[in-house]
Amino acid sequence: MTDKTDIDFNTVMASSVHDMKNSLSIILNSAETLSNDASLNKAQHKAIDLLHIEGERLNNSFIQLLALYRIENKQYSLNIDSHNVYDCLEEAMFENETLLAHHNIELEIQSDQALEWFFDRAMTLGIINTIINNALRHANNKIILAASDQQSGLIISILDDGPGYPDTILNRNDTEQAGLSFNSGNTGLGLHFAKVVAEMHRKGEQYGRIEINNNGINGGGQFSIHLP
Amino acid sequence: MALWSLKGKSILVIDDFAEMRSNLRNMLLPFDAIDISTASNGDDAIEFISRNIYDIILCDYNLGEGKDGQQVLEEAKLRGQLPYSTVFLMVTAESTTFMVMGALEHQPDDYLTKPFNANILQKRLKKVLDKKSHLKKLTVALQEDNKSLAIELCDQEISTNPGRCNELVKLKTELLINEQRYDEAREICNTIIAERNLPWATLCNAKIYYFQQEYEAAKKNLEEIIAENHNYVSAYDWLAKTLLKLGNPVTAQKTIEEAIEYSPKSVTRQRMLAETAETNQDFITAETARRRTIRTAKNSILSDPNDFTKLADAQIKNDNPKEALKSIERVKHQFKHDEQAQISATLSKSKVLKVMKREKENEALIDEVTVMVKNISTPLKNNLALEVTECFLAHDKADEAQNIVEQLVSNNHDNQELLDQVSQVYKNSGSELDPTAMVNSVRKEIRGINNKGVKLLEAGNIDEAIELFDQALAKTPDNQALNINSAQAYIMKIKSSGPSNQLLTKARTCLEKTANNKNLQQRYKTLNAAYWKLSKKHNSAIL
Repeated sequence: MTDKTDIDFNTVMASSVHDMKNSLSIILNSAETLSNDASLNKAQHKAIDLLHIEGERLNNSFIQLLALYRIENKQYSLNIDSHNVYDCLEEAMFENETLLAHHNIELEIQSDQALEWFFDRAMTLGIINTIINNALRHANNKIILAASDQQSGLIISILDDGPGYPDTILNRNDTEQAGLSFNSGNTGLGLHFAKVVAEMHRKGEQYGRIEINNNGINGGGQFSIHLP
Repeated sequence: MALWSLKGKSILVIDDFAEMRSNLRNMLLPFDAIDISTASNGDDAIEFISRNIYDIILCDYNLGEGKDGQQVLEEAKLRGQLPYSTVFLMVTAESTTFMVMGALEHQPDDYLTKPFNANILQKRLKKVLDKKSHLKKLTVALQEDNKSLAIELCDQEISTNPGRCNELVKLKTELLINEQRYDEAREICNTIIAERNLPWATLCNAKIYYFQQEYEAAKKNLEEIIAENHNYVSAYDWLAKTLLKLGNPVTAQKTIEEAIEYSPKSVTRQRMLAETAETNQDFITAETARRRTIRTAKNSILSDPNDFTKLADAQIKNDNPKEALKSIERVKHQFKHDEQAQISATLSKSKVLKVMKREKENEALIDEVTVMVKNISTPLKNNLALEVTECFLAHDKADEAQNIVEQLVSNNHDNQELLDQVSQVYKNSGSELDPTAMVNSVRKEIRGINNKGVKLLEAGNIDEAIELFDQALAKTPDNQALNINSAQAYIMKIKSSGPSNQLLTKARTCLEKTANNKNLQQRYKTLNAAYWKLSKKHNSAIL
């Protein structure tokens, strides 16, 4: 058996995560209830929207930090199974439906409905949600979730019609330690998480990876996850 | 928004946090859900589920002190209180939890990770409800334990709906293994592994090796899974079982301890640790594991008086006979109405008194056991019968011992392993007596009854056969051959003179007793299928 203190910290952590997730649930659902109130004025709507979007970001960051901690401490290994890709993308859309509507952004899914691939569903959805949350703040009125199976594996892309990623992010060498070298705050954490999780997806000698460019809609941002 | 409605659905929300309960309730209200009950802990939840049938159960995995969501689900399923039509959604704080839970025998219909909004909840519920109604035939087949039909239905669905049948492929593979159709199961696993090394397929391969008694091969597969997926808990469980078969209980114990670190609230796993530690003479670990087993199983169908007597045994070994007596006292209170448990506890107490050298009290206790055994209303369970026999032989009660052995043999006349154990008990006692002649005569008698009954059935004298089997079963209610023959007699009776609730119940009772007997599996399957056919006909006639 391991050290008693070790077990205790894990128990404390698991129950704290439980508590914090409860708090987040209540904050986000309260924001959602408020945002459906027709009597609010524009400024109030905007404030609630901020509450909502920042709450979602907080949640994404929390999931990422926790996952990175668990991976670091060998408490998490990927749960690879065969999943329907279209259903996953659809779920990501549902999760962000309210925010998309409030920002007047249309989300389109481009994927074969029968497409199946091997990946860790929860972690991959974590990446997609983070990128959508990011795209929400930069897109003008459209986001595309696209998936296709190529010879190298599955590619899931999130494209927006915003101004695109700044050069400081695009010029980073993909192979260098990502994440903490990005200085744009929680975008850094999100990208680091995406990189770590993508690279954990492995098939023989092939490793997963992420790719960022400005080949999105009308030169907007495009983020792709390659899963072998 | 309310195109889709929960009107008329009965819903149970289980969460330890009051705000979350009202939060969930608020999410459901827009969909016309009216009948919403809430429970704040596992024990209340189980109480609710035992008294009502819910259409939908939303259960948080983490329920604070006491039972967790997985235990609630397990308990409801084991008690048969969760009909296939009920949707059970498990709510978790971390998506990583279901990796640990994922491979367990009792699975919820889906998982939801917090936080989620009304939209997600509705979509998930709809998806599961649609799936349930779409796969209704399959779930009925599973409920009726008709595995070969279930496999066929899986095949049908897999061929008509490619792209979304991963779960069905898994289910089919498990069913094939259950049905001992190992070659077919192995082929599916190998096809999958050729494309991608999925842990569940490797686990199935390992199970097949295990059942085919190729333990080294099973071990290799299981170690592979664990090297790649260190929190795949059921691989640890199977590895421990395999190591025990390979005669390596020390490593088996380490393996179970690792699994427990990931998932401590499992009664069967804690119990397996206790048993293995006992084998390893590691009574410190055994004592702790028994305590945890008892605590985890509290108020559960999995609660077993045997854990208390085994705890007492460990406490004796750890030089603490006073604590041992206390553990035994707990059986007296908690299993007041369980005659077998009381006898077993009294035997345990006798062992403690012996250690404490309180001989006089001990003699009185043995007399107590004699009276209890005499007045018992159901036959002693096999292991207990052996223990009582051992005790009686040690205390010069050869006649009482013989009565018990007669009863034991007549209930198990075909169980050679047990009959050997009986001989062993006599030999170890140093007694001059040899039970062989008695065993043979009881065996002959039972075989005679069975043969006579089967001949009566062949001649079409169904009523006479039923009477004969009923009389014999009154004395030896667990005898396997008698039960399966009796089930057949009742089914023939129903076929010839029409079904009634009484006849169906009789047939069911006999069938259930033989459900787990490997030697009778083929006959059980045939009769079970016939039973359900008749039962359905009867039910639809009533409706």
